[in-house]
Amino acid sequence: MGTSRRIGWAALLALGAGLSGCTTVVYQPLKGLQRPVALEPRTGNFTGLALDVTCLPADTLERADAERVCRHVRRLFADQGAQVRTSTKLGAGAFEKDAQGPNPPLKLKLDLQARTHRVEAPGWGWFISIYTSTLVPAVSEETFTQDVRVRDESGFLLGAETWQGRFVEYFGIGYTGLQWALDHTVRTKEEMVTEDNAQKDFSRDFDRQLTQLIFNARMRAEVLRRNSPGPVAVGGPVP
Amino acid sequence: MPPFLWFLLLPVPMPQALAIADDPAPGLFRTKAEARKLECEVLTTAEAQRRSPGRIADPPPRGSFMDTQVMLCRAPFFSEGEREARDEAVLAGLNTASAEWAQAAAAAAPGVTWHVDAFYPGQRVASKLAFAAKVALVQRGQAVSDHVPTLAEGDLEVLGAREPLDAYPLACRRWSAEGGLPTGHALLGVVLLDGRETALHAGVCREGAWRWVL
Repeated sequence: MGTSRRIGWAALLALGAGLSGCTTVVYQPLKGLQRPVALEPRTGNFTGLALDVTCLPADTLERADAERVCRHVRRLFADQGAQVRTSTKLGAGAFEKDAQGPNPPLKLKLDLQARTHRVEAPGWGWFISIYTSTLVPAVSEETFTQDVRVRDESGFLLGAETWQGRFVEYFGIGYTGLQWALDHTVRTKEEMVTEDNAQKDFSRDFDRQLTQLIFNARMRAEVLRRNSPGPVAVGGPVP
Repeated sequence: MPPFLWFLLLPVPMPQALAIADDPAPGLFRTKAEARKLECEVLTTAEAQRRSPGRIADPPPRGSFMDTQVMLCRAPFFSEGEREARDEAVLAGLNTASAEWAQAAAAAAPGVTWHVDAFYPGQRVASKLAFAAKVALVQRGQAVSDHVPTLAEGDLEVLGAREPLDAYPLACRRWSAEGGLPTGHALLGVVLLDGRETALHAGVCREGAWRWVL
């Protein structure tokens, strides 16, 4: 087989390997997600708290994804001792009215709404990637903005945050191979970027920030209850 | 194609490589720890130009072939670990928080002269909190005094033995009884009640009555 044919077959094979899904996703926390916290998620943080979580679908977030977010949040706070109900709908019918016992737990309402913005790799980026048999990666990215609102039972706003994060997707055998080699040679476990480390890092940041926000809101609700006859209705924190 | 012509095509991937090197996300040129040190935010071009005048180019008048975003990044003043996590979290949101305290306080007690005190472990951070609250009140057109009412040592001992949520209303009665807060004056107290929280509470003491406003 001639040299040029061998090179051609090698290029095709590399291209095939690249197209079969050699993708590295990297997570970068932006606004709010890497802020230090004073409270880590752990059992018993929210004993005696009832939490109604609403995960709102949007143009860029389908209902199935919103339900997945709600399941994750329910597990997060149920593991920390809270009684959690979830819904992907707004309005009075979203949650069933529950019977009030003699000592009803403190109830908070958590609204989560996300929007995403995806930027695909430009045409010339794909051309360079394919031209180099995916040794040079094609780079796409997705930026998400997560709005979080916490209210008490009467609707008073106790806490509001907007978090941003970014997932950068590198498609190509060259970049993925290099990252894999670095992960398995010089990097510590915390610094690894391949496989599902991006998702794990994001989940950890999201869980910590959400736990801190709900704790702050709970403290605020308990403090304002001390006022008699009721809290000052001045509109609450500016979102 | 003659082999030497391949070298002419080597610079073709350079724009891609430069873009990857310039990206603040973790990857080949930046570790996760280094990426987390930067505080980045994705903004519209107009907002980015407002925050960093002269640094962001205007978009082309006929639009662009590519979908672009503006990401502003800055390195924090203090490195990670130089301050306690709670202090860092409290101070990171101080601009917004102080505006909220001032808004709530002004609504609860309009037309008074304000005294401000911060009840926070750590004198340095407490001073910053009190100063930020005073500036926020002044920005809302409120009259602010630098005088901070104090209590006798015996009173402090008694208050120290009480639950925090009971201590502040008692302290308020004592300030008024001792003449530290005469009529027409009020105290805005910025309070940390639990070491695990990062959002402070605000209370107003006026004419012997304490009220939590945030």
